[in-house]
Parts: sequence; structure tokens; C-alpha cells
Amino acid sequence: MPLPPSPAVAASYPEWQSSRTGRFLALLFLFAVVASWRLAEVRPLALVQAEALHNLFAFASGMFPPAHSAEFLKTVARPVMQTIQMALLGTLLAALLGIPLALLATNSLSFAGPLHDMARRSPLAWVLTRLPYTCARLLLNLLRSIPELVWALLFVRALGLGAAPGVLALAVSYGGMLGKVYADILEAVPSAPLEALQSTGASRLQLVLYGWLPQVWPNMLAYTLYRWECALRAAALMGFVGAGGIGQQIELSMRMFEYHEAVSLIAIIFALSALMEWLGDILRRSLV
Amino acid sequence: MYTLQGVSKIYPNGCTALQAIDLHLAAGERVALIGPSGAGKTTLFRMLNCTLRPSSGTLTIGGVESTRLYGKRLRHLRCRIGTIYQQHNLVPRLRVMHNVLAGHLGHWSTLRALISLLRPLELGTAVTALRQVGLAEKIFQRTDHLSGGEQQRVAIARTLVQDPEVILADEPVASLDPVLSESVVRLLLDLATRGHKTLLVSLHSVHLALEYFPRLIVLQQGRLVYDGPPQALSSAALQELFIDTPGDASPEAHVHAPSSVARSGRFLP
Amino acid sequence: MAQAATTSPVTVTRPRRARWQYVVMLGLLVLGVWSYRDTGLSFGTLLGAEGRHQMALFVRQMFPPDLSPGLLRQIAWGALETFAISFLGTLLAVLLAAVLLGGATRTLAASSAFSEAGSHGLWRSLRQTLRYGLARALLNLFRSVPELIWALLFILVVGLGPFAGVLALGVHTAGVLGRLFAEVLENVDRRPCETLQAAGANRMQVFLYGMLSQALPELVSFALYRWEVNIRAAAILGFVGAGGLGYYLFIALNLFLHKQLLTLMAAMLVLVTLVDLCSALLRRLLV
Repeated sequence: MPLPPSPAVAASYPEWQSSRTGRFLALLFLFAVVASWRLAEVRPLALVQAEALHNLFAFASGMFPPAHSAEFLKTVARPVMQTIQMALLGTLLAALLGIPLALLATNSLSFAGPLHDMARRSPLAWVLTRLPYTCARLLLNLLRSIPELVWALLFVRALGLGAAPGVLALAVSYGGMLGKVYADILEAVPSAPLEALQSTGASRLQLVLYGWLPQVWPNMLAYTLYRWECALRAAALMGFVGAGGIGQQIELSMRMFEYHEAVSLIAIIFALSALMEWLGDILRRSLV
Repeated sequence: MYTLQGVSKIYPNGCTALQAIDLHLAAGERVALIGPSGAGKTTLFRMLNCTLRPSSGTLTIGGVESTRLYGKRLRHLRCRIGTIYQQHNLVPRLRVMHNVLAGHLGHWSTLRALISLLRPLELGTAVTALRQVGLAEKIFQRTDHLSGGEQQRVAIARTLVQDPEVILADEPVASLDPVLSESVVRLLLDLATRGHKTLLVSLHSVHLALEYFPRLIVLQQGRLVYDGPPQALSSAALQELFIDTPGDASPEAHVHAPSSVARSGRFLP
Repeated sequence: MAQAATTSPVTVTRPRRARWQYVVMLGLLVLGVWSYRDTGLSFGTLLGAEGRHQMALFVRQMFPPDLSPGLLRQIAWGALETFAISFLGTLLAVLLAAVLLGGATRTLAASSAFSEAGSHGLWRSLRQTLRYGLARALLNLFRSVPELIWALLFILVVGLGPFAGVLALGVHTAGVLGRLFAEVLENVDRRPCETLQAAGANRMQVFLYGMLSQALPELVSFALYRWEVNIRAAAILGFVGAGGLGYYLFIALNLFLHKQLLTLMAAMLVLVTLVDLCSALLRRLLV
């Protein structure tokens, strides 16, 4: 809200009271900007200093031509393949992890809504229905909130180097993300068909099969395919911490100033990502 | 079959849907339920099909008090009660055959239910049911590709497959044209008579109720105001009570009905 | 409605799922199995006695967590720095996306529905379309390169430290937001815009009053959502030296200071939850 009119007018219109919140937020915002500026040591002039421009130029010139020798491609073929595999397997495992957690974390499946009006009213029943829900929600939050690279580091420490920790890291963190979105989709399902199915005497699991899943699986699939595309980019970075894939090669190339190699690798990832997006579109349109 | 004593229902948002309902439905009866919109008909149905629990009063179904029904017992009871909703309430993305075969879910294990989704089991029962409602050729189509009237008939087919002892139909013909309405009502009555089922149908059209049902129940603002043979209800009382044609509703008509109705049929204070 | 004759047979063709859909599903399965074997992931070893023992050992090493005041102070600063990086990074992204797309508002507004016929030549509209196309392509490039790699690049240019992180997040997120913003603006309801134009507004006014006013809640929502994503990204930029908690995490793991791990992870969790809550609150207030 912009500046309020004179106090007399403001007094007679309650809407102007909310402008106080607006002004407070604006001040808070300014404070946050200034504080962050200092904390993050922002120095815009550094971008145009001689050294910076020199480095940038070195990078830009080192980029061309991108490495494309047969030898180079042969060396990176294996890690590229591994990256794709990690993304695929990671997403599959994430979906397998996310679905049961999402079913638990949907309140309309456990205790809310008209489907549960006939349920027992004892305190024990109250706890027993809410406990899995709360635990599932907390777990999903935990899995989502820790960045996948951190998970990768932990798994590398626990299990050693290789692609396996990378896959697990993707499975765990993406499982949390997929689970949360699946749960949101499940909760938004219209309840009328479910009520009708319940009235035929269907059990809860049958309700899920006949009532929930047919209504939601296109949305769930669409989001999973989108996550698959993100997983490819994430898998490419797993190598930074030794968890397999092409990331290790990229980091090495950057640190050794072999920019043309790095650029090639990035271009490969870009191409793969576009391919995944295209494949995902086709899959989505055909299976739905 | 059903005994309600002093049953009331107050929703969490404070709305009182039913007040002190006393009702008895014997097995095999065919009853029509009439009332203006908002009278509590749907709430009554949901209580009778074990979706809602009464806030006060006792509801006995088949000799068992509803408060003692949980889990598996509840499921088995629901299996014996078939409900037809006004808005079809079918799963839109499933094919018609799956929606119809869902009538078996009460006595199918989860594994059979899953297998049936992949390769329909007992398809013959679905075909027979759909033939009876005249929709046999639509069996493999997606449910949301059918018209409203066709979807309603699919819902009836599901009830046929379920083969319950009680059929509760909540305004099954509200969105159908008069000719179709009449044939659907006749179909339901036919099923009920042949299978010795209890039938409770809620209707907007008083003509259908008068013509086909031996017993009439009238609900108004959550109260039961008439229970008896429809012929005993004078037409003047009916006019006051409740409007036949939509768009005609005048609020005053709904307010002071009980006094004039009390003259005939069972008096319900 | 017929009581359909039970004598006439029902001739219905059962729809067959297109054969290639089975191929696709089978293909996915095969790829899944192949990936499983090739990555060396083996649930046998993972969940077997040895694997469980190793993981249990690792977890045990993290307890009790190091809560010394020195470490806590470091972590607090790190958390603030991470917050700053994510906040400014998202802000920069919004500005960058706005600037790049801003050149395209004319093109956005110039649909056939309300382009001022004949008043601008073909050449001019061609230039505008080119500019728009270029802006979108640039934003695409921005978002295709992961933040970590942008961070490496910016470290080369401005040196180590959180500033590189801000730039990296800003550039990458600009790409993401640019695409989202463009989609939203393109899908806005045109009818109010037409009405405004009919009332005599010029194209910038039409954009501001007609398109932006409709799209603003969704744009703000996307920006807030990206802030939630960026706080997680900012936490790990420290791995490569771009400031924030990630740096301390990297050190702790490489120097086997396991007791600090739990504290750091808890700090990250708190930070992420805080930003999520702020974002939800702001969304309720502003959207």
C-alpha cells in the first residue's frame, strides 16, 4: 500500500491500518538488504577491476574451442553414463520412498475429512491416527531441508567413495521433495468419489487404489519427470564431493584451468538435460 | 432394519442439520423422502449409510447400535448398504467397468482389487449390470466422457453389482429429464421388489413420490414433519410444505407447515 | 431408457494400450536394473551386517555433538552469511530477470489483440522479437548451468568469498525466474488489457496496469519459492569457497571432526526451516 492520506481520512477507512504492516515490512526489507550487503561482502566494483576482467577474459578465451577430441570424449563417456544412471536410479528410489511417506502424510487419509467421521473417538485412537502423520511430515521435512550435496558428503563418509553414495543422496533428498508434493496432491483430491467408494464397504487400501491413485497419478508423474530432469543436474554435481558422476571431472578441469574441457562437460550436461526434458514431455503426453 | 430415536446431528461449524428424528424402517419397505433444499436429507442419508455419526440419540442398524460399529464390522455393514448419490460420485478417470466393479470392493481382498485394475475380474457381473441400465456398450469408456444421465446410470449399475440389502438413493434423478427420471425410479423400485431390498429414495418431484411409493417421509429444517401414506397428505399441505417446481420457492411457505400437516398421517410434534 | 434385451450380444472392442507404451515401461525397467548394477549400489551390502555396522559407527561418532561457544559463534556467523547470500542472490535474480524481460514487455504487449496496427514498421517489430528471443536464450543459458559451477566461475573473477556466491545464485536463479515470469506474463488474461488500450493507454501503461497487476501475486509467489530453494543452495556453495555454512561443513568432514557435523546440520536445518516459515508468512501477507 502506498502512502496513506491525511490522518482524518485514514481514521475512517480501516484498510489504511494495514499500511502500517506494509511500512514495517518495507523497513524490514531495507534493513535486510543493507545487513546482507555487509555480511556478504558485496563489492560490485570488483566485477570491473582490471584483474577480474583479465580473469574473465582468460576464461572466455580458454573456453574456445571446447574440447572435443576423441580421446577426451572416450575418457568422459564412462562418467557421463554414470551420471545418467545415478539420476535415473536416484529418482526411481526417491519415488519409491516418497509414495509410502506421502500416503502417511496425507491427513485426509488418516483422520481428517468426512471419511473418518465414524472413527473411534478414544484418545488412544486420536494419537494412533495422528502419530504416523506427524512423524511422516517431520521426516519429509528433514529429508528435504538438508541439501543433497550434504547428504552425499555424509554417505561418502559412511560408505566410501563411488556412485552409490550419490544415488542414495539423491534418493533420500528427492524422496523428501517428492513425498511432500505427492502428499499435497493427495490432499487436494475431491472427496465425493471417495465417499461413494467407501459406502460400498471398501477398505482404506482399496480406497487408495480405486479412489485416490486414478485421480492423482498424472500429476504425480508429471512432477516426478520434472524432478528427474533436476536429478540429472544434481547428479552432475555429486562428483564434487566424490560421489560419482561427471562432477569430479568438471571440478578438476576448472581448478587446472582447462576451461575448454569444463565447457564441453557443461555443454554435455546441458544437452542431456534438454534431452531429458524432451523425453519427459513425450512420456507425460503418452502415459496420461 | 433401521431404528432412529431422537437422532440429531450438529456439524462442527455449528449448523444443526437434524433435530430429534424418530424413524423406523422395516426390511423390504419402499419409502420416498421429500423436503426442500437444506432440510437435512443428505445428512440423514449419510447417517443411514454409516458415513456420519449422530451427535445425539441412538441409531440402530440391523439390530446393532451404530456407536459399536468400527473397522471390519463397519465395512461389512457398509457392504450391505448401497448408496446412490446425486452427483454420481464416480471416479472420473477410471473406465466405466472399474467404477462398476467397485461394487465388489466390500468383499474383495486388496490384492484382488489391485489385480482387477490391471485385468478386470468378474467382468460378467459388470456387463449384466450395465445391460440392465442400458449402457452395455460404454463399458470400456472413461467415465468422465459420459453424460450426466449416463454417469448416474453407471452409479446404479455399481449398486447392482454390490447387490446390497438396502438401497439409499439421495436425489438420484435430480439432474435427469422427466422421462429418464421416471424410468430410473421404476428401475430402482423393480430392483427393490425383486430382491426384497429396503429402498429409501429422496426426491424433488412429489408426483413420482405419490405415484410409486407406499410411504412418504417429509423433512423440513432438520425435523421430520410427516410420515405416512402419501395419499393422506392433502395437496394444500403439500403446497405449503414444499415447492414442486424449482424457482418457485417462497420462504414463507417453508415456515408454518406443521400445523396444517398434522391433520393427516402420523402426527410428529 | 431400455431394459436392454439380454439376447443381443454386446459387441464392444476392448481398447488396447498402444504397444509402444509397454515398450516404454519395459525400457524404464531395464534402465533401472542396469543402473542398479552398474553404479555398484547393492542393497545387499548396504543393509547387510557390514553396511549397517559401518553406518552405525558413523552415526555414533557424531554424538555427543560439539556445542562449544567458539564453534557456535562461528556457526552463527556462517548462518547469517548464508542467509545474506540467499537473500541478495534472490533479489539480484529478480532484478536481472526483470531487466532482461523488461526489454520484452513491448513484445509481450504486442499481441495481435492490441498491437497498434500500422504505426510501427515491420523492421521494428522484428528487432523487438529478436531482442526478446535473445533475452530468453540468455536466461536459458543462465539456468542450465548449475549454481555450483557459476560459483566456480565467479570465484575466478572476484575471488573467494560470499560475493561470488551471491553472483552465482543471482545469475542462475535469474534464468529460472526469467522463464517462470515470462510464462506467467504470457498467460495473463488479455481482456483487461484490451479494455485499457481501448481507453487510450499506451503500451507501457497497458503493461503496468493490465498485465503486471494481474501477474504480481504469482510472480511474488515464485520469487519466494526460489528463495526457499536458494537457502539450501547457499548452504553448500561454501564447498567451493563461496562462503556460508558449507565451508565449515566441508572442513569438518575433511578433517574428520565428526562431532561438529551434527551441530552444523542442525544449524542448517534451523536456517532452512526459518526461511521456509518466513516465505510462507510473506506469501500469506503479500499474495
